[in-house]
Amino acid sequence: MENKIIFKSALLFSCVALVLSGCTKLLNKQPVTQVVRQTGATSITATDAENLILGVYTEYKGYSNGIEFNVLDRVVNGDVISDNCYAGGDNPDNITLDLFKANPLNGNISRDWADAYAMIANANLAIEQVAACTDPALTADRKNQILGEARFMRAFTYFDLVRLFGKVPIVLTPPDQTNSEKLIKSVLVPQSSVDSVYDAILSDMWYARTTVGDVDANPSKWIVSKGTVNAMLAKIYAAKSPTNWDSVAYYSDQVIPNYSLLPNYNFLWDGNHKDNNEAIWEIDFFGYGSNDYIGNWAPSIWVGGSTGAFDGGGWKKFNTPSNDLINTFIAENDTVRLDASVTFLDITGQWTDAYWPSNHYPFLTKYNDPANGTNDVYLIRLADILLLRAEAFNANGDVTSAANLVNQVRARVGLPATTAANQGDMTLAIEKERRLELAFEGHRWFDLLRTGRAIPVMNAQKDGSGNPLNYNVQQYQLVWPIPQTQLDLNPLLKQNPNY
Amino acid sequence: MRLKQKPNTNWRGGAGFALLTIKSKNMKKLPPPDGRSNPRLLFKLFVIMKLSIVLVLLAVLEVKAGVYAQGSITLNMQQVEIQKVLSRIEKQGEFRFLYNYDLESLKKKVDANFQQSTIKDVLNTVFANTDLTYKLLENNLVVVISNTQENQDIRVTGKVTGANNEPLSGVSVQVKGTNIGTATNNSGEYTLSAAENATLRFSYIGYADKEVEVKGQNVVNVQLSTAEKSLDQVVVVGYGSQRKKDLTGAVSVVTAADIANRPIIDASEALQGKAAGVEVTSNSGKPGAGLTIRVRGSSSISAGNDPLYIIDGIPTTDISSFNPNDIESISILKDAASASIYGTRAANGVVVITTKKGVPGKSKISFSTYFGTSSATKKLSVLNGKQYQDYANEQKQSTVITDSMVQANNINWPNEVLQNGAQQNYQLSIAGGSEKTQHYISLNYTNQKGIIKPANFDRLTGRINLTAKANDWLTLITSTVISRSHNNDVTDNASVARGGVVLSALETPPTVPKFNADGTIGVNPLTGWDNPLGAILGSYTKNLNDRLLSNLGADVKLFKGLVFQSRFGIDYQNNQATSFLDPYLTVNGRNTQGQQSQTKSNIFTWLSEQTLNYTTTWGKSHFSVLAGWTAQDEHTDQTTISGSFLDTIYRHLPWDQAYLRDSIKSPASKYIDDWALISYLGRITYDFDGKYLLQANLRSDNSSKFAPGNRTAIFPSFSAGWRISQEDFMQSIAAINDLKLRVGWGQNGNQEGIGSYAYLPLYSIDPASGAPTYPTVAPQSLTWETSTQTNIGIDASFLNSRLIFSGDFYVKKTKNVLYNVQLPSQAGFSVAPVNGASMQNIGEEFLISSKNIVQGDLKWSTDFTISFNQNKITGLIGDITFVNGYGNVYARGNSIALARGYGLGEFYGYIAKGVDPLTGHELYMTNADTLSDNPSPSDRKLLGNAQPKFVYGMTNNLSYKNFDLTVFIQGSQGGKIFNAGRLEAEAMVNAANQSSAVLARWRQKGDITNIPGVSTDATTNNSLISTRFLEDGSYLRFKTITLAYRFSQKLINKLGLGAASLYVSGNNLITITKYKGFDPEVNSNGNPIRVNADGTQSNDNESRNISLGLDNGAYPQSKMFLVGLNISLK
Repeated sequence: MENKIIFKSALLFSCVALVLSGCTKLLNKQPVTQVVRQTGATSITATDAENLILGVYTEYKGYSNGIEFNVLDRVVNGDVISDNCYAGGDNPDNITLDLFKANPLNGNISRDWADAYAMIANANLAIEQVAACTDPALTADRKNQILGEARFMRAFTYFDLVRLFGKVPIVLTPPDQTNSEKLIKSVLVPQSSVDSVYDAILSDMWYARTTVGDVDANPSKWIVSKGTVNAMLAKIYAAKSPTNWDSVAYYSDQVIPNYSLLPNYNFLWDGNHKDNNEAIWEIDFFGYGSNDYIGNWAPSIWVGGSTGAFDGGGWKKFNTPSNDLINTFIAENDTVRLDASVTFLDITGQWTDAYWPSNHYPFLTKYNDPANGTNDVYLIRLADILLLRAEAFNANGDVTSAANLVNQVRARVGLPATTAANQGDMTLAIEKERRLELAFEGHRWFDLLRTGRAIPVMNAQKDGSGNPLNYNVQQYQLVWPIPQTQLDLNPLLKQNPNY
Repeated sequence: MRLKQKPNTNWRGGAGFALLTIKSKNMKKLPPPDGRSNPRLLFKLFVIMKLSIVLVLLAVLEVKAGVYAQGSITLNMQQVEIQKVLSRIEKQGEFRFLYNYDLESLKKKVDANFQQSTIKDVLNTVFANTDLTYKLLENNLVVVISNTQENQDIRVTGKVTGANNEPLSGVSVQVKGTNIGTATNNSGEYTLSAAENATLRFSYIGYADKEVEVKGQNVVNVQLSTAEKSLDQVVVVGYGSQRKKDLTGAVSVVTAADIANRPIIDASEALQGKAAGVEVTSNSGKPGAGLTIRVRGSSSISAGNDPLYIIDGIPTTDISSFNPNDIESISILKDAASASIYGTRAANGVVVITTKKGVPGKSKISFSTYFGTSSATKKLSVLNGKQYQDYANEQKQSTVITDSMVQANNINWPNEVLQNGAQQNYQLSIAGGSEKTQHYISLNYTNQKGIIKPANFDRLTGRINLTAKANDWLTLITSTVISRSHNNDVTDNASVARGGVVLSALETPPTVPKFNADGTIGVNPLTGWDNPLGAILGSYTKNLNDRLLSNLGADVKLFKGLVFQSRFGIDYQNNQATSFLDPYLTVNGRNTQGQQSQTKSNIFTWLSEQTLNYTTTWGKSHFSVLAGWTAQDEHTDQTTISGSFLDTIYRHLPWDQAYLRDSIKSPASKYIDDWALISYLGRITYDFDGKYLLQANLRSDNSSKFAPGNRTAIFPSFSAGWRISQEDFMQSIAAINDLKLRVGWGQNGNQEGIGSYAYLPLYSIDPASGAPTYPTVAPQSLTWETSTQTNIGIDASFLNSRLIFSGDFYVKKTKNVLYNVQLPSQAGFSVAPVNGASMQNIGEEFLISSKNIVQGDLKWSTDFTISFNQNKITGLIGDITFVNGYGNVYARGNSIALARGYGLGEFYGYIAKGVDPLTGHELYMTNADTLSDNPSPSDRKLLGNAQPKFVYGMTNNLSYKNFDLTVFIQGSQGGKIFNAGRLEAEAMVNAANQSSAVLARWRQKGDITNIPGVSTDATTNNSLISTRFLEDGSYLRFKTITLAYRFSQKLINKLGLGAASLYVSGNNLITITKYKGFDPEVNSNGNPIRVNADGTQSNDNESRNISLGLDNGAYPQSKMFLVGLNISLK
């Protein structure tokens, strides 16, 4: 009997011993397939810093936010909202934007705000951590270059935001993670004035201008260079009210000598001329199977095709070129750019459309590889800056110099010199030249905005039969409403007037 | 001498036992029951002897007792055993004795010197100073018996029957307080040896345990009643069990009988309408779609609201792999007092499931099966070709649909898509064992084919439960279940634009062909959306789940009253989710040229539980103390591979072969997750005389999910009960059998659904570039939420326990509610987990159980449960009072808000005020109390809540002779449903087909209708999220109607079977509701697992908890007819 008790007790105690050993170790779980993000002043390594800037670039073109905001919606925002395209296929969000009936619940508006700030926040994290890096393996020059690139990209997105929404919140640091209350407080930021947003943009741009690489020093046109920053500065000064034409001229002149127009307009789109001399900032897409596995899928819903390659078949795609745009191409006898931008197909029997006949239905085909995702996207290219410089000349009364630049652009596509001879005509000539040269590249609506032409141009729009389209654009519609979801989440935000 | 004469109803020739009416110990010259000679022969002799004795006794009784003891005796014996003395008297020929061989006193040596003495004198002298007495019977028969009440084993036989007098085989019969036991045979009979003052304990699955005192009887016949009503019913609670009458917490019990003859695939379905305080909602009718279970409401926003399941001691959050037919009982620990022993995981209640165990006796082999056919509970009507043409041309303001298109195709898509489903189930089990070892082994296959292809679920499970008594102090216990299930999914709960098959069936125009000439699936050319065959044929998602759950344990009796229980368990899951998008058939497939992905995950959990349990009694005080330590560790390892750009010539290949031929293989991704929990637990239970009951629990948890320093939490609870019916002053009230008042208070925690590293700011690694992406943000101070619950309950039974009532009232307050705050986008993080919110649930729940008729062949009983719960968010973090961020409806925004002062699932939108006869536009109420057809978002209001005011269930069991009729109705009252499917089908904004309701649309000035006109400009103002689509989700449903026939014993015997029954059953046959969608039992966001775009899966607790009552085109519920058969072998 005693033996039994001893045996049982031994069993019990060995179990207890087993239990108590290794207790605390069990609770020390650390992530394996994720990494703990350093916060505040904790230094990261040089490798971490390189990975972080890589992450910022990936974010700007990647599937989570970048491609939607920087590619897909850029064309909707620049071309569908303007007079270049109709919404196309049956999507209420696109259609209401096209018809100026969008409200604060519009899905495109909501996601663009979210995408933009997600990219900005990612840049903010990288900027904070790289700035805190004390690893000697990261040279001061490289560190500043990384910071410059990240700050440029942050400013680039703020530039989009301020033009779309007007007053927006400025967030330049990651949230405070000390505790729940501080975290919430640190992210509930009110809107700042448009001028303040531009100040923040310019501050980043000026920093970037001195630290990023030279035009030829970078491995590709996707990496931000001094040329990219100067080009953006020209665009910013053109857009910021009141327009500072001297600055536009100054920064354009910093850009133009470093680039040249491609001899053939089609080379821009044929996929064989990536990182060409005309590209200033170009999102390189190498297709679905490329090293980064990021393919540009946007063309598949613009041009599409039932066989994988472009044939326009299957269903009514988005972003249908407008009658007004096609008529403008035709009136200008601009066949090179029309052919490069638009393809007409007979879609009889598949669907019908209120704007176009079935047997002659246009598709946007500047991006012509719906199958493999290899279409690059030019965020800035030389023709844009040349025409901007022309505007600056014209604004200062130098119509001849302006004409020289406009004619450079026209000559490439076999068009005769412009006939505009005075400042007023030249203004319209440049506007039209920009429209045709840069169609479907996301510029048109913003050009109309900065030149104050949006309301008259849009309200004069007619359909193919010459009937007015009655967009009836109001002044308040020149900025989007703040998305309702954001107003709901952040009580400090105020809705833009009249929405 | 007490002689009983009982009508011998069980006399069946020689087959049955004679129901003897005399104590067998009085029989002389019977060998002991375990005699070593030919048992069969002995048995016969035994029977014959008994028969003769009976006959003799009957004869005796015929004559008046009192005429006996004739004759005289002369003896001269010294120091001989009494037994010898009696033998000698017999040899003299006048008297015969009946006595038990084993009586010790017969061996006593005595002197016997008698001359012509009477039998009385002789026996009085010989038996002096012994415990022996005698009775003189007619014909000079003398019965010698002992007065001693000590252990004198007698042979006890008897028959055990069920509620309808049917013999129950395999009933465990145990001599209380000993290891002696047996089981009934196929005729329900048993035989064992027991002390004449012993108590026999009869226990049988699904029936209440019954204890019967032998009181010296040789025959103890017992009728068992079904389990749940009995006060002596033993209820499994956390780390132990308690008699129901001793419970001080709120515990609901569902037994095997409640599940029997129902086509239940997921065990949690068994709780619907059966357990007060538990709300069960099918997420959809899709096979394997799962259920949403809420015990006493929801207490969390972002952490889980699902109860914790304990299967044979192993905690888990998913019981879909288990076979409900193996379940013996389910206890739902509802209040804090009963659940807090599970501490940090118990805030949402604990569902303790025990599976069947073997009982000593011959192995019982049982087989059951059913087959059923199912169809949609309802069909929705859509526009036909002509009506669609009319609509589409009006909407597009041009002839987009021509007559020839209508002539070419005029397909009723809902009819194409909704077909008949089927369900089948087979269960084979063997249960039995010896006194030392008991086994329960089962094999089950179940298959459910959905009413929309290719949805399908099948599962094969095997179980082995073993108990081995190694010796008098050590018992080994093991239970193991292994299961494999397949689930073919089809996309539902999604708009037609997102490929949802249900809305596609409603919205695909009749003019769209099934297939194009080239074999591709027909497309609505205006929208680019495939017809529903796209979802059915153009892609597939297949899930394979393997699971091994095994528990090994030992009970060691250290010394009297002290038991050490050791348990080690593992739960190993191997899941594989495989998806394929055909590169040719659908628009999306052609655009992406095929997509394939496969996610494999292994989840390994181990659990160690070591507890000490001490029980003692001081007078009328009973103490029991439990102390324990547990540790649990869960490790998940997940790998995803994916590929695309499959040449169409390979599209028919099996998945793996096709994958190898994908021309693009995306980088594989890897995910590892780990968490652990170490806990200490203790419980003290005290009762005085079964009258005053007290219990206290304490659990301390340490979780790896929180930052060091933040990891420990302590959860106490106290409860008390007062069995008023035990008080003296209640004894005179005969109508009340039992009356008990219960009061409890306690705290529980919740950490379910919180990421393992949620307190750390993290980056994921992009598998292609290695760059850090998808950062997360979290406050370091993150901790678990705590709910405090007070419960007051009353249990009563009346009229000989024919009427049982149980009621509970509770208040449950949760603070530090884990809340993934939706951040404004400028934060850069869509959400951050914080401890900020607070929540409250107040409710009442009642159970009434009544045996309405218990006469003869006719029996009728009714069980009714009803549960009320009021859920309210009492605070959100900081100054936030309102977040409209949930329940997204395609192209309309969010329909559900989180609002302080309101419950989860509060709908948010416009108040619709009908159609303007002038314009045909829907009008909405504005803040200025005016009507507008273009309202501002600020005009939106909180519109009502998805949570029901109460849910209820009623089961009626009617049995007459061999027929049993069960009618189970169940319902939910007062919840609202946002019918997003109807919103899409009546929106009239695009070229999608519409519901027939739009035939009543506004067409011209002056039309008075409640359906607006078409929207020609694509604005959605006529179909905003508004009260127009918010519907009453109340329903009353005849969930199950089952008619069963039990074959007569005669026939069964002829067939050589032990028992057999056949039944027909109808499920969801009738649903009474005003809801206009397919079915009011719907929760589009109920699925615990969200499949991400990249094929990975993640928990989406937010949606599950907040976006209640949204019908985004859920797979319809089905009604089912089935036929089932249950047989057991002899």
